[in-house]
Amino acid sequence: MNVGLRGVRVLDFTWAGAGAIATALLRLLGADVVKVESATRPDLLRIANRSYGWSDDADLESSASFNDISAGKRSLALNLKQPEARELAKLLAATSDVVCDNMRPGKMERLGLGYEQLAATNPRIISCSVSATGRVPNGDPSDPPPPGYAPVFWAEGGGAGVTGWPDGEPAYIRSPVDMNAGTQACLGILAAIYAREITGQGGYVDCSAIETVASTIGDELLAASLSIPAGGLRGNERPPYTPNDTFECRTPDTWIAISILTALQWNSLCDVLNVPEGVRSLGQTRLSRWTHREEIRHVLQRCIQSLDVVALGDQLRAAGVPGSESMTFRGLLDDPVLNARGFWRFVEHPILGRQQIAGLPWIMEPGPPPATAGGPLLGADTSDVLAEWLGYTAIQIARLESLGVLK
Amino acid sequence: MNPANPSTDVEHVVADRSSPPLTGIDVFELPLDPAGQYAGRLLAALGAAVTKIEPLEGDPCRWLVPMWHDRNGRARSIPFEYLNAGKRSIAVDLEDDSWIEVLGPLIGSESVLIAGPTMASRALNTGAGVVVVASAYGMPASADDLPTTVFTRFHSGGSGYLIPAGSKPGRPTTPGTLVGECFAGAGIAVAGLSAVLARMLSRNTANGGRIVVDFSSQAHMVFLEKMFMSRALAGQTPTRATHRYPFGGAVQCKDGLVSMLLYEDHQWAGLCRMIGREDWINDERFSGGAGRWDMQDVISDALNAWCSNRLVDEVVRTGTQNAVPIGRIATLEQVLARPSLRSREFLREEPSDLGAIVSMGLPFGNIDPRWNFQHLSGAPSLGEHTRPTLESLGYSHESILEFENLSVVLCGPQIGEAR
Repeated sequence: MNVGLRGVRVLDFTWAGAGAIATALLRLLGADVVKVESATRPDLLRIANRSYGWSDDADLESSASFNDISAGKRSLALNLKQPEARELAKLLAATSDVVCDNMRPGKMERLGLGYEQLAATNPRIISCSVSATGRVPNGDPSDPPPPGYAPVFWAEGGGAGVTGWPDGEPAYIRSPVDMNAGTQACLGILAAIYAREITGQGGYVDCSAIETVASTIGDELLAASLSIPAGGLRGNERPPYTPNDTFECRTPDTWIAISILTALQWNSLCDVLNVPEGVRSLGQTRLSRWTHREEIRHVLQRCIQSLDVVALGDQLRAAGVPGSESMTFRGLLDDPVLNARGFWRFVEHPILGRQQIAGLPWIMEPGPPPATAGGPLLGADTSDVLAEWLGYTAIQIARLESLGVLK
Repeated sequence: MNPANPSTDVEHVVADRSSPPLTGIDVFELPLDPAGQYAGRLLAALGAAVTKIEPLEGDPCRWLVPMWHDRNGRARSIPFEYLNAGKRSIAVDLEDDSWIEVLGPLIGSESVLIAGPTMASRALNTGAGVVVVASAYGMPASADDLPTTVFTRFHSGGSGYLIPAGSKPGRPTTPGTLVGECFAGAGIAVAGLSAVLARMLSRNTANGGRIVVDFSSQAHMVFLEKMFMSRALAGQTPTRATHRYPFGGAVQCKDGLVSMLLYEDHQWAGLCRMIGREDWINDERFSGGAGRWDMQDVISDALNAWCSNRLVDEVVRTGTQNAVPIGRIATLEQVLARPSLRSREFLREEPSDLGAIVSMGLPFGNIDPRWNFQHLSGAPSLGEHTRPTLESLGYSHESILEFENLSVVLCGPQIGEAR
């Protein structure tokens, strides 16, 4: 039995990361997601190779990133610079359950696709916008909002200010910042759909990505509001765990993450690593392990330097010591647990061939059917969507094509 | 609201357009790591009635530092307060299944139960219509007898290997405070709510039974790295050295730091105009992302020199006006003071037992009244709601006393405002 969001229609104006992952989750949950796009302003992820500086390849159909994030979505080509295209978008929105975008605040309104405009004719509509700040009441028109990119969210939301090393600069996270914003936006959409099933009324999710970052450091913000001194940049230190750090193994740039709370775990670690007795005895209490943490760190690194990371991870787990290989992407693609769960799916793409993509990170039983398709070719589903959603005939579609509306 | 069955008469409760959207949904937490508790916090902020079912000695997260003494002299954990704002607490002996019998009527078929891996089998023995088991690697249980911590879980998912992606790659680190757990928690909340919704929609087509969700925080972290996982598929595993920004990751200004990352040519042109190097706009050496990667040292030197003589506000304003994706690396105090967070009611000054605090709502703005900041009461004390819950289930004073004497339950002090 397939259970999910079957029958839910999503009109998707998102691109790149934060907004696109919200609709990606809806698609993986079974919704019909139609991505509105145009070759005149391609999705950054369609040209990820060039966007991220990996190569100068700007081909619109060769991006594995796009193929993964947009897996199972359908593509409708629409040139929104044309008035007739914007009218067509409104008609499509009128038959949709959800309209999602991650444009700068005000852009959808200028296209006639803002929440209030859509709700006037479709009160059941749920609109979701993902942007850096969201709509700001009484915002200063001369002070433009920051652009919607992960580094801005992370920096302005306070995440960069609490991540990094005491003797270094703040550190940044990239994809997870975007994806977390999209995940929280998806949460808002799901909540709005639930409420609509009961009340019959739609709603507006005006998601601020900066606020989603702030939400992940909410405990620090609560402490700061009470004037509790912040710890500053702490690297990997996380009391009461000590030691709590990463150590380089035999192959350069392979690392094991170890996190010790109890004397039992410490002694087990010492057994695995053959730690000298003098240092072992230093670690019999948490206070002593903390006081001597620098010395302990150096000794542990010496012990670990000659060990294979995979074998060490297995030994630590067998000994009941919290430890994990600091996984690389290559290792995760081959990870037996992820493969056994069916997390990795293999799909065929007309240009890229057989591709490995990520499915839902959870198993729902009963649940939606697993992903079987990759990302769409640009505009490949235009005719089908116009016929299914609006009842357009081939003649009507051909006319729109001749006018340059559908490109 | 009937604390025993707060979900009764859902339609009446939710008919008000301004009511939080999940009003009427009951969520129960069995012992969870911080990720699961953050999921519960999000669901509580969305209007669900969230109850922690804690062991008699209390959730270990009650002792996470920093600690703070409230106006009643109680020592309270700040991380616990944040993760559990607005929830209720029932304390029971989780090692003995008497609690399932005693609380049975409370966890009905319309309930959501979120459990850690050690409580999975007990969770499935309740009547909850949606059961979410949140673990490090997913079930079966034998896979999650493995000892894990916040730190090791984050590194199991691939993101840890890539941080810091700064000018000096250094050794892998982890994001500050509970960031990694909150990333996972948002996923748990989506997983649970999607199951609730799926059940509702399928019931509307005559098929609504129990749904079980097996959530893996490792898989979720990998999911969050979708944008760059493709590089590994192309045989180019990202490392801290290749994942870093070629320039602009953290740039020192007179009074603080800014961060920027360019993707498009018009943004590069804007940066050139910002720092007075219009001659670089059409210079072939700087063409495309690959060209700018090769010239990163030259660009960094010019950028650092320009920013070091200017205040953060000027740099951010000038950059934004030139379409450069740039932001201030904000301190905690600067985040708390950010005007947009106040005007959107994401942050609000609140009196509380902790003192005057700035509390946090949902990141969905206040244009739609249903997200209007719902003040979440502070985190509950241990077992604060045990007695009123048992009373609402119809247990007599004598029965409750018997449960206490047998250490089946703990009736905690009634401090603070009950939901």
